[in-house]
Amino acid sequence: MQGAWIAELRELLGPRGIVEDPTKLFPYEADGIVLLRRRPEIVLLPRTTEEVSRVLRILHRERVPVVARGAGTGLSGGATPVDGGVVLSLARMRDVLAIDTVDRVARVQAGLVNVDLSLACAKHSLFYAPDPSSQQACTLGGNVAENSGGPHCFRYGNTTQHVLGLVIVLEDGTVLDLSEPRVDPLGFDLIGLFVGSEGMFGVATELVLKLMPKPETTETLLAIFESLDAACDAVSDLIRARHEPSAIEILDKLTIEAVEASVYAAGYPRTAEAVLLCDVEGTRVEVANTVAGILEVARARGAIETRTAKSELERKQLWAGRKGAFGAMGRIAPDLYVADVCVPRTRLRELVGHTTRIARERNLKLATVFHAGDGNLHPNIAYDRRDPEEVKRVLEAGDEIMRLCIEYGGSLSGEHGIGLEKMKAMEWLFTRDDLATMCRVREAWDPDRRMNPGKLIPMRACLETKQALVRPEERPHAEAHR
Amino acid sequence: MSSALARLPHELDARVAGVARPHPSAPELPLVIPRNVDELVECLRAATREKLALVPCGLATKLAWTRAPERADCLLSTRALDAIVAHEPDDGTLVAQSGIALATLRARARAGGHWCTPDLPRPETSTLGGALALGRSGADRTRHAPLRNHVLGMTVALADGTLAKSGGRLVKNVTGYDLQRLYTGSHGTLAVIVDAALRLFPAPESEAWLVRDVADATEALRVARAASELTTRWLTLSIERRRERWSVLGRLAGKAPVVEHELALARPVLGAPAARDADAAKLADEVRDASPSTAANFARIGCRPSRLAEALGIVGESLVDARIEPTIASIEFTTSRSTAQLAALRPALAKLAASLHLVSPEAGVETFDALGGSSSVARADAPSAELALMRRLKAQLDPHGVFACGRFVGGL
Ligand SMILES: Cc1cc2nc3c(=O)[nH]c(=O)nc-3n(C[C@H](O)[C@H](O)[C@H](O)COP(=O)(O)OP(=O)(O)OC[C@H]3O[C@@H](n4cnc5c(N)ncnc54)[C@H](O)[C@@H]3O)c2cc1C
Repeated sequence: MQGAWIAELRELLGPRGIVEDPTKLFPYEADGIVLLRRRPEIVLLPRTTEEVSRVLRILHRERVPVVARGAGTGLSGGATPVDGGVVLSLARMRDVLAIDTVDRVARVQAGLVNVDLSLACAKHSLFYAPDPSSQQACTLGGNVAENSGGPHCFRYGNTTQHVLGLVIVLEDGTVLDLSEPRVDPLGFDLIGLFVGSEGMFGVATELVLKLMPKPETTETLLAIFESLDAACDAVSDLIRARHEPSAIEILDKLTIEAVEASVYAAGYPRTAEAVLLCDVEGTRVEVANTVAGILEVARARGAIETRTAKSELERKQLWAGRKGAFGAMGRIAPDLYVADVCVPRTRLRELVGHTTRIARERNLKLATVFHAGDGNLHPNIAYDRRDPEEVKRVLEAGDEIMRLCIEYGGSLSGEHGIGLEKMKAMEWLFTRDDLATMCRVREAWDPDRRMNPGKLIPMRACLETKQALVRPEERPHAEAHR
Repeated sequence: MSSALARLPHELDARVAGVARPHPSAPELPLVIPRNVDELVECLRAATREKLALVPCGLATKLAWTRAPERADCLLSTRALDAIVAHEPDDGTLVAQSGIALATLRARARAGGHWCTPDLPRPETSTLGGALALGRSGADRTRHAPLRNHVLGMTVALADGTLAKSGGRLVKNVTGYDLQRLYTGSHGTLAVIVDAALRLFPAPESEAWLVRDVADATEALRVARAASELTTRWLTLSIERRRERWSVLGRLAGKAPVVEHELALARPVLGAPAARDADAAKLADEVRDASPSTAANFARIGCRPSRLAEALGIVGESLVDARIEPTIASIEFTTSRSTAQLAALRPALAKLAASLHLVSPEAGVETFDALGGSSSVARADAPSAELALMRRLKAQLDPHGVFACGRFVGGL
């Protein structure tokens, strides 16, 4: 990219704040969805809200599209660069700005890695609840943009329930300071609306997040099943019986085999068809009560063995296995297609059955690991991206799984977002009017649609809205990002 | 404010079922009650066509909580849209139309073994749509967090009659923008809520109330803080001031052995239970309905928990009855002071970054917020970035001001 504005950015950010060398742009070409790749023109790495604001002012003036990027662990192509655009990475904005132990809030820069927040407040017996399996790498800003979840979000809710304040830089460089936590929003709930907006409303630069007191007691339970169906039924029963553990996860046989053969080996029995992993937190009595309830349900559903972790080390191992599952699957095939669909929790078994069939019919290797308590499934299909025919079958299977979920009253994503990958499926779930309404809201934040353009909402829906609302002559930069 | 009794087009006119005030200080206007969603859509299309201004409402009991509209031609009530659309007890979700009374919703949830938030005062005369439009959480917020966290999806009717859905009926879902968060708390300024999906919580097996009378606000705060540190599972925990008496009230609810254990933990601070199970449920209704927010004039302060004592110190003299939720850090109170007198407390509250919301039918509603960078959010003459964005949202969703303007912060 050439132009006086590039020189301006160089001057503003210094040599460490801008990546232009094509050989160094490779890591920014894709997020976790490696099938979707595009080379960015340049990558900008500001360090403060002020720098982000100045950068965005320049890009606004020059009408350059912007893709914000955290750690690039996203699994929907949200951080995939766009043609003619720049990537704005938050990787150098990773300071913990304040931890308030009285009000139990933390103020952090958006590039802070998720796990580092819990580490930073551990000495105060506090923790940050949303715990994506990628928490060792993903940024809190990325979590906000995707409204990420994690195993313990069964009890604590996705990211949106933990965001108390934000500093957002809008597309024209305006700093929107919503950082003072409020009991209720004054006016419209801009924070609630921003969370999950996938980088399309602005760049979050600072986050004010809720911290939780560490529970008095935590028990980790493992129930081993001879069939995946039985494990799914046990989860539906747990929900029906109103048990409230903190996390309810299922791993199937192929996942167990992959984990046990990897550095994440957790001691899951390799002979099992499925394991159910639960965390139960609270007071001693509450935990004992819930554990008893879970064991009863698991046994009634034919669990061949149940265990509770005997030590903190064993607990950590059991969870390391779950959280390392995606990584461990690298042993099965070079690439992994991670689906992320949701269904009502009464329909888990049916959907899991269908995903198995869908994969079998296409001769694909399926490993399922999922946030069962929330009805959030991750059917993972192992494949090799160098085999175009296999890639085609994988994508077809992904589509069929999404269509089935919709039929079952489910949705396209429980935590990974829509991004580029599932954009077309938005038209299967939502009407034109639903999508056009989303476009209108988006345009209130970003009238020119320069922030992460071409993601989440199919372009057709957006163009139609724009035309309906604004006459062509009033569309100043419409051509800039077609 | 102008009224246009004669001007209503036939789609609206056919559904007029009386009159009501869009605000206590405003004259009466026709009250339009569509009988179903198709009629609602027709009414909105007609309103857009004729450039009318409407005030959406449920049972029109909380219209004093915003200002009088700049201009309105009629009220549009969702009270006849009162069906339960779907109830999945085994999945813990319930979808209902916005005109349903909260009491009906709660009874339905309870029949399926669930608790339905928000636990608001006078649930017989509060509709779901009203609660959502107000963004109002109930006393159970201490346990269940604010209402807005549990709205899983919504269908709304936009000003031109377009029906638009967001979210879904699932306890976990990130498909599309969370527009239901935008509509929740928007006081009917952006869209009419048609139906909403809510997450339900397990109904408690057992419950108990603990009540301790205390000497004054200082002791109340100390006791409440100690109580909040004993267990994080209070369903409600509040400080109540009634007729100059102060007390701390806690409500525990859940599985029987867990409640027993928590009662034992709480005993040194709050004493023996004042009511159990059936009696506790009755007391709960009484306490809930005695909320200061049921008065015609009341005020609400929100701040950080660590600043609650200071905020209370500032308004202390002004309190008549009050409910203070220590873990939420809100003070809701009735007062004998005038709006002007309360407004004079602003500079002191501003130093605490506290927000103040006054509901006073005579004086209209005043909202101010002393937050860094956004102190002018409510001032139409000097819009902050925040208010400018809110205006753009309004312009996108209701470009012609069919949902009467001037009622909400910053003239929205
Ligand atoms: C092994 C593995 C396990 C995973 N497990 C989980 C899981 O359990 N739960 C879960 O929810 N997800 C999971 N994910 C997905 C991913 O980690 C999350 O979506 C995460 O939140 C992305 O964070 P990131 O920093 O990598 O964001 P990126 O991938 O860099 O970006 C994601 C999106 O956010 C936008 N964005 C990033 N930062 C900002 C910002 N500051 N302001 C505005 N927009 C921004 C980007 O434009 C993009 O649209 C997993 C991924 C992997 C690879």
